[in-house]
Amino acid sequence: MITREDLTQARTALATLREEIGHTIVGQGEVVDVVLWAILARGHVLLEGVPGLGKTLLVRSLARALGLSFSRIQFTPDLMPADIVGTNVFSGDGFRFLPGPLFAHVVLADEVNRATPKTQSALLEAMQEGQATVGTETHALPNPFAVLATQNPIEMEGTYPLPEAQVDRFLFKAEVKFPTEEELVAIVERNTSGQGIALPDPVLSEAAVRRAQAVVAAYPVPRPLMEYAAALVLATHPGSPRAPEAVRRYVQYGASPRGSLALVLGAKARAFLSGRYHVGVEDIQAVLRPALVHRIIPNFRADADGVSAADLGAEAAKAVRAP
Amino acid sequence: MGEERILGQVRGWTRVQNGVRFGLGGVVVALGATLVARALGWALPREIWDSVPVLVGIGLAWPRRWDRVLLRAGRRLGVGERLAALDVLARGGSPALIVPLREEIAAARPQPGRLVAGRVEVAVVCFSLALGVVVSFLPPTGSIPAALGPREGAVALPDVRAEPSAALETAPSSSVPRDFASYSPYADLVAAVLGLDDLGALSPEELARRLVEEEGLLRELVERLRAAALGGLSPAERAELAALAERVSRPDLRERVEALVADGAEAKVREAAEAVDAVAEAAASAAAGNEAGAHASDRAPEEGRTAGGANGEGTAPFGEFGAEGAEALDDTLGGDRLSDAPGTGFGEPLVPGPHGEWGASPGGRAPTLLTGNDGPLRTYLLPGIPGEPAEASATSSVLTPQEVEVVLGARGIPAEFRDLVRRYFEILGGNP
Repeated sequence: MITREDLTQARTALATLREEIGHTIVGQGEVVDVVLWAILARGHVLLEGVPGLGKTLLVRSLARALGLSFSRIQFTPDLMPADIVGTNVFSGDGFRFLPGPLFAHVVLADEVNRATPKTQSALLEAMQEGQATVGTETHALPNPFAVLATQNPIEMEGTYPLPEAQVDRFLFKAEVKFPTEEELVAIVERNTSGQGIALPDPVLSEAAVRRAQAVVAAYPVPRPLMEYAAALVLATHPGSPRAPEAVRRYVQYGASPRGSLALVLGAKARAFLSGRYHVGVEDIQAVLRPALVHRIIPNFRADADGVSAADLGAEAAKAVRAP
Repeated sequence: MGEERILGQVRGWTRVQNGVRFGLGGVVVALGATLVARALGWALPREIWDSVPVLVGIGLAWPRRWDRVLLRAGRRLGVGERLAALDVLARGGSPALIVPLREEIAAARPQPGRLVAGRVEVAVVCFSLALGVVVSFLPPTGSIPAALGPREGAVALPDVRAEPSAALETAPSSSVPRDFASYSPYADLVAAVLGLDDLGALSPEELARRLVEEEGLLRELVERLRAAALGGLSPAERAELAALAERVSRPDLRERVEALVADGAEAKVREAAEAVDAVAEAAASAAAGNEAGAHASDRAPEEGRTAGGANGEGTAPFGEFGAEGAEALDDTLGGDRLSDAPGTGFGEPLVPGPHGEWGASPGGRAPTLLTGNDGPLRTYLLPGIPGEPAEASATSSVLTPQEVEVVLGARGIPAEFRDLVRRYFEILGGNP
């Protein structure tokens, strides 16, 4: 049962959090927002961007500011499931479970597409179930638990691209964009001043994050907005009567039902972070791209014509009338 | 204010909004129908306008999806999706969220009147007003709507069955036409039946001929319509009746009958038959009255000329009935000189008549009086009383003293002749 104090404290703390992150991370406001939405909505984020854009720093800073434990796993082809989940080791009185790096509140799975599918599956299973099984024992993962996986979109050789079913388990996909000139200057300035990069101070705690998640979950969403979210997802399916011409022409598979969940949960988190007590149509529209872009599978014709999944998501959104 | 009260108020206002929208829609449709009907010369059923309040009631009671209604109402009231969110919370949400949401709504001070007087409603009202102005500038059809029954038809046609005194009272003395002697109240009826504006161009014979022809045509049309109505019209019947309807003189009746025959449905054909029947009845009345009126207008000058002697100025109207006329009348009274009676001479003041001394003496010869339908006096006198209906003429040959007074007042009879006229009717009424 949340109280009004929970609400006020969570809102104040998250406002402070954004300020703190801003002291460390230059730009990337949209990515920060998407990651915060995902954490508040108890989801995971797939970060996609070229190397050197500060993805690791961003995740580390967020975890630190949230007052949560953080671990980073660099995925490589020879990484085994036990390397991330943990293993049973023998000590004097028998076998004892030694938790792997997965047992942290915020896990950065760096270059997740470089690990073999077996290891990827271990990670993704933990994401889905919130627990990890080693041998015959099941171990609960920390709560809150968020995986932020990165992918390098340009260096695909020797990688194991995540199957669609596994990509679907990420609540959002955030595209980390190259900084602007101004932001680049600020980055250079901060990194060459000799002081090094200072991580933000913790402004929340594990319990505070859990309360904030509870508050977000309690946010009311009127049924017409849920219908809108469902209609948006249906509009990405080429066989749907709601689908626009571009979707019919370029989409191989549309978004899954998890897309609707992502839209509504993300809208709730966004409304909370915006300081409102209700979810609006603009919240759903704002989370449309990160919620659906990795769930729409374009066909070969789209690749040939240079039509991206984000473009198709936008076309689908245009075809659905807001309530 | 509790959330239930807020939501209840908004629900109530949205019901009103729906009622207003339905009502406005009904008004627009009714105005549009009126516009089209007037443009095409059709009659508009009253039910069109009667349906507007019914539509308002339907709008008030129309079932609605409240989640959507509250979403839209919240936007119109400037509180966004808060009302819809409050509705969700009120049905089992977290109280920690209800309170701030309620406070936000209260702080926005929503004006429920905006639900009723939104842009859409104002635009529809403006459109209705514009449509109303356009409709008001179009002349009403003024026709006998075939769809109407005999009651409505009687309104459009001159009421020939009105009481004589009432009919006379309505005619101001100042508006007595100069050609009063030739005026007949049936003229309007004849003109209405024949669809003419001015009867002056037609001779009485021509008028009578056309009236008889028109009545015959209308009667035939009524019979054919009634015979063909059952089960609707076949194409052949439709063509045949259309040809007949084409010959109807009255233009609005013609158009209406043509339209109804073109429709061909049984109900429409029956309507057409009723309408034609109403006009046929009017034509019959007009024929009877006009025949009498024609005699009156024809004979009055003859009698006047007879009385006028050498100067030939015998066309004096009834209101200018002179001494010569009185003497002429004396001749028609079988030798009894009316002018000899005291108080009945030209220019003499009124004196009481010789009551009780007018009966036939035992040895004397009864005056030869022609009464009833055969007498020329009746033929002359009855139609000569303007405005007297045909039915009254058939049953009663005289006016009551009260009616005489009305005639005198309404027809502007000169004062010097009034006593003469009174006396005249006293004699006719069997009170010598």
